[in-house]
Amino acid sequence: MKTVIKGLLVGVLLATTAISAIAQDKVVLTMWHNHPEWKDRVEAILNKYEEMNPNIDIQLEEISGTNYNTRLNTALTAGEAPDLFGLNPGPVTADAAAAGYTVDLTDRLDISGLTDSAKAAITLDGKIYSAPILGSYTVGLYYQRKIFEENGLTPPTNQTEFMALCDTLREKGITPMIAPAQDGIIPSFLYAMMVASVVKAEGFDEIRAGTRKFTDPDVLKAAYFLKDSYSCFQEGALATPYVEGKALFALGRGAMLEGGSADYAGFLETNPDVDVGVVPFPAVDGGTPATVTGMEAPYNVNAKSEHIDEAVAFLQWMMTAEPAQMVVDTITLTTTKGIVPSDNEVMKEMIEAGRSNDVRVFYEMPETGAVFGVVQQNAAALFLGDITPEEFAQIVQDAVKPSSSM
Amino acid sequence: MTQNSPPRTTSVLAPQLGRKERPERRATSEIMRKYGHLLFVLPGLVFFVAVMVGPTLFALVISLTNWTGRGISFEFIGLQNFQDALSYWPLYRAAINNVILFVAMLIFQHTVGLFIAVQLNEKPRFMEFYRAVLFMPVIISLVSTGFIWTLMLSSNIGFINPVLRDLGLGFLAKNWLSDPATALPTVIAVTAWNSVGWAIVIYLSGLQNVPEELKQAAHIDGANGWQTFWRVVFPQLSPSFTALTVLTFIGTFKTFDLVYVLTGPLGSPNYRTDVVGTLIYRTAFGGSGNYTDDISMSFAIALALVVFAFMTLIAWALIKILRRREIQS
Amino acid sequence: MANVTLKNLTKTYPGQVTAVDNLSLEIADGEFLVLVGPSGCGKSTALKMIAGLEPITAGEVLIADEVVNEYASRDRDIAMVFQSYALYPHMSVFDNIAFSLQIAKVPKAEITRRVGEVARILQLEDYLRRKPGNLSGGQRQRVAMGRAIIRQPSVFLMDEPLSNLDAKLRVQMRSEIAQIQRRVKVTTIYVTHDQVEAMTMGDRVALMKDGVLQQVDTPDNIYNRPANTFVASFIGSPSMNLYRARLEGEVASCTLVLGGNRLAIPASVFADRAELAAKIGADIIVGLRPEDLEDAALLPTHPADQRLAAHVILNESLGSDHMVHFPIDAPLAKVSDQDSLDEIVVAEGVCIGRFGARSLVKAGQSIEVAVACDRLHFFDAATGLAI
Ligand SMILES: Nc1ncnc2c1ncn2[C@@H]1O[C@H](COP(=O)(O)OP(=O)(O)OP(=O)(O)O)[C@@H](O)[C@H]1O
Ligand SMILES: [Mg+2]
Repeated sequence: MKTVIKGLLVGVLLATTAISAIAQDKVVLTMWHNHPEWKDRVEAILNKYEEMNPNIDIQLEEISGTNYNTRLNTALTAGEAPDLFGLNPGPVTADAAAAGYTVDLTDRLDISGLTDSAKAAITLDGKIYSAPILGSYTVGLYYQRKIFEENGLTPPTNQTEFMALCDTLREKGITPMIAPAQDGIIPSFLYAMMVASVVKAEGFDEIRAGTRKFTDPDVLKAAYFLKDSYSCFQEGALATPYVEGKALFALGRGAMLEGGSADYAGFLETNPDVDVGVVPFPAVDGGTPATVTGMEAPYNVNAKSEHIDEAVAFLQWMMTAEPAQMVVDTITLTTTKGIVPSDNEVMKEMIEAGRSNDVRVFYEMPETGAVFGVVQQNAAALFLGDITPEEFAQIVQDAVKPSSSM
Repeated sequence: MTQNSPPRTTSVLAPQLGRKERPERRATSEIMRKYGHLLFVLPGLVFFVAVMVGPTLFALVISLTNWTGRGISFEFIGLQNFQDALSYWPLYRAAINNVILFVAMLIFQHTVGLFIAVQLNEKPRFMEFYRAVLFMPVIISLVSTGFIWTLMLSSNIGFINPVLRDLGLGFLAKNWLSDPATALPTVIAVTAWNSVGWAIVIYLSGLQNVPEELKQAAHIDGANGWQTFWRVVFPQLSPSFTALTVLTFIGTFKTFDLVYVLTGPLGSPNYRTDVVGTLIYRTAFGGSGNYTDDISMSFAIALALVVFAFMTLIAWALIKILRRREIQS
Repeated sequence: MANVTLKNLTKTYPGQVTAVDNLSLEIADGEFLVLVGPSGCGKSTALKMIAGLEPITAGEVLIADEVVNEYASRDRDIAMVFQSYALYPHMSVFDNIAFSLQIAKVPKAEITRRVGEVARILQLEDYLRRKPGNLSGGQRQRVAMGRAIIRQPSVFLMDEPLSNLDAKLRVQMRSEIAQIQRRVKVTTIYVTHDQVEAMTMGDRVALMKDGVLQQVDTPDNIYNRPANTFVASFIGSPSMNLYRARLEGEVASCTLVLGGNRLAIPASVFADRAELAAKIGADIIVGLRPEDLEDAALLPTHPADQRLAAHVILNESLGSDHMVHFPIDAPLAKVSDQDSLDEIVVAEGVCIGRFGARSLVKAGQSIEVAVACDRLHFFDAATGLAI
């Protein structure tokens, strides 16, 4: 018996040494990403890099959006996080850096090739901790070209048109809008665009400074619009999970969807024949139609990584023209200067939509960091009439930490 | 005999001397004799400490800090988290849902579960088959169960509503999980479907332990089927009743996966289905938000410990009360 | 009060197990009938059919001359005492006894009165508040009896009610039950596989084997005139010694050839058994009860031609008498399914004699055994039926 066990042990030892010997030939970089629907597209870019750098093996693990933060937080705490991981810019990235989880890339990374807005988004007190390798997303209103054409409709530009359009579509037996509201993410984006249509980019700065409030009479209209828009949602919207909603729209089960540039790749995965257009979200009456832009979680390098140099080199490459072109053609908007979509019409439309009135997402700013989550958590109460728009706006306002008081 | 006395004297003295010379060895063997059997408990004890007591103590320590779960910085803040937990109204909102779930499940298990168990105990044909089918949901992972049911119940892709419409029961079609009126009842129904197998198995084993002669005696004493069941058979099932009640209590208060999969991180609609499990999860790890400012591991652990203490107390009381009933019989 | 009649009662369980085969019996009003037989012979099944707890395959059960086959148990006016007592464990002794009256919605006051009365008869007055779990075996047994008699039924059915008691208590309860039965005078069918109970309690004993009734008669007749070798060996302790033997000579001077021994058979034996003479010269089975064998040293006047020469291999002294084991060189007649609780297992071919207290025989001695030849039992060698 003992000899058998000894034999087994020796065998196991030999096997593990052999495996590690093979592995030692290559530098393995582990990477976590939170968009399983982009897997093939991201792999394609990674493969390109691996072709050019045969000694690098990037192992990509896709984790669905809802679990990503949880798993990453746990892994970071336990010291088992991957070499490369995406984190939202702003407060989250700052927290991770303060906790010593990530490498300070300020002197290691050349970001001169990025657009100015991207540079601004990833810079925290003059320091850089992450690289926006998968670009950014802009959120607007997707619509089904076919449905609109067949019924002689045009995309709405303001609240009145939007609500009228809802009625028209309902009469025709068409679901006006798909809004997977179970986790509150979509309602939170909707509210952001509605607020943006009133306050515009400058007003957004005033909100951050505390000189303008969500409860101001003009901004309050955004809360009313949000409440009204609920009637346009599909059946059971409050229990529809995010992925189900996106799939429903991709399959043409509703005429409109609040969505970002980053969603288009997912539509194509679900339905290759998807035929959609995109416009800024209709304005609160009297305002300007708006879009919201945020960074696709820029990538940080794990402070515990054994291959920091290799990881930084990879991030640097990802911001160059070739991968940036792949990103904008197959995934979402790029943040690398001078790169335009070659034939991705939807991306072109999205860029166009973002030109009129684009504001940055709440959560990337320290002052409004909590606003996004609070809207998520209270939108359902607003929809169900458990709270009034006034109460809703007050709850949101309470989540703001104005910079003047900081 | 007299010749033998000197050696006898030494042999009598020898143990006394020995006792004096080797007091330590005596002492250890004394301890071994008294407590040696505890050694056999040691492996189990070590395991228990490692996987239960250790982590619980660790959790207790964390709950005394303000650690968010991210980073390594924290301060000890005493019992602040517990104080906050007790006045944290979402905890009560969630706990009330647990209570509703518990009461509903309790009634369901002790009526429908018992009824099915009684039917199966009559040994119908294909009994094995029925039993397997009814127990199946118990062994399917709760995540799969929840997922299957969301798919069936969905207002958009589910087949339950279309089937109801086809049957001419369109008025029964509902937005099951998003309508505040039906969301919690739907969660209850799925939980019931999932766990009725337990009730059946527990009651069935109880029923099979009721001697046939007891029922025959009741028949001869003039009792009809109904009287025989309620006055003679059912009282014999009180151990099953206790076990099932306590299991249902524990099960409904620690429910998480099913609810999370059915109605998401925010207990949609508007927390109507939020339970302590999802609340603690959300507090510890965040909802699905892009920004996770509101998470706090230490507060979540404090919540969990408060719930744990409450559950221990109630479960203990339940067992105490229900057991007393049993012993009397 | 009622008589019970079983007509060709038959029970076949699924799988072609015939537990009771064509059982016909008449039990008179007030009679105490003991149903006895080895384990698995169908006693409980028969009783359950009478009680209405087991469907009847064929035949009829009549209670008070009425066919009750289709009646539910509760409509047959019977009470039953189970081997396990089947007391309701969650009820007090009072409620156990009162249960049938409560079900029948008898007024509370009357229930209290009747339970009190029964408790007095059974000496259970001090235990009425207790639960069965806190009673001794004998007390539980009495509660079971109480539950039966409170209903004042026409028929008592008792299925091995004493088999869970220790030997001493069994003896005590045996007489108590018999006394109670005599007092209340209810027709009783009492199942047991204990032959002592059978012999001491019943007015009549019905002996079953493999579902078939072997003999119904008074205890004396069953003992003295067993209908076949099975009955002969089942009743009596130690068992009757059965050997294959042959009769030689003629009625007036007949000799039994038992292996190497020859025993003179008195003519009176033939007078009682008309068919025996025809068996002279043929193989038969002879049965010798142990008490019909005696140490010849104690009976100097016993005829010399009614003695066996024997070599003692074992002497079990009981004080009052001695069980003396000695081999006989005749072939043993085997009785299948012999099963008696008190049976003393003996080596094959060994005969047991019950010698008087004053006998001095010791193992290893060669002795003479006096045989009461006028008390021998004779059976057909082929059928085992008594001659
Ligand atoms: N439910 C049943 N199904 C099939 N066979 C049965 C069933 N109950 C009893 N039997 C068979 O019928 C035969 C008679 O059983 P019964 O219980 O009447 O015996 P018994 O004389 O009461 O024995 P014991 O002295 O051991 O109680 C046995 O061979 C038994 O195996
Ligand atoms: Mg029996």
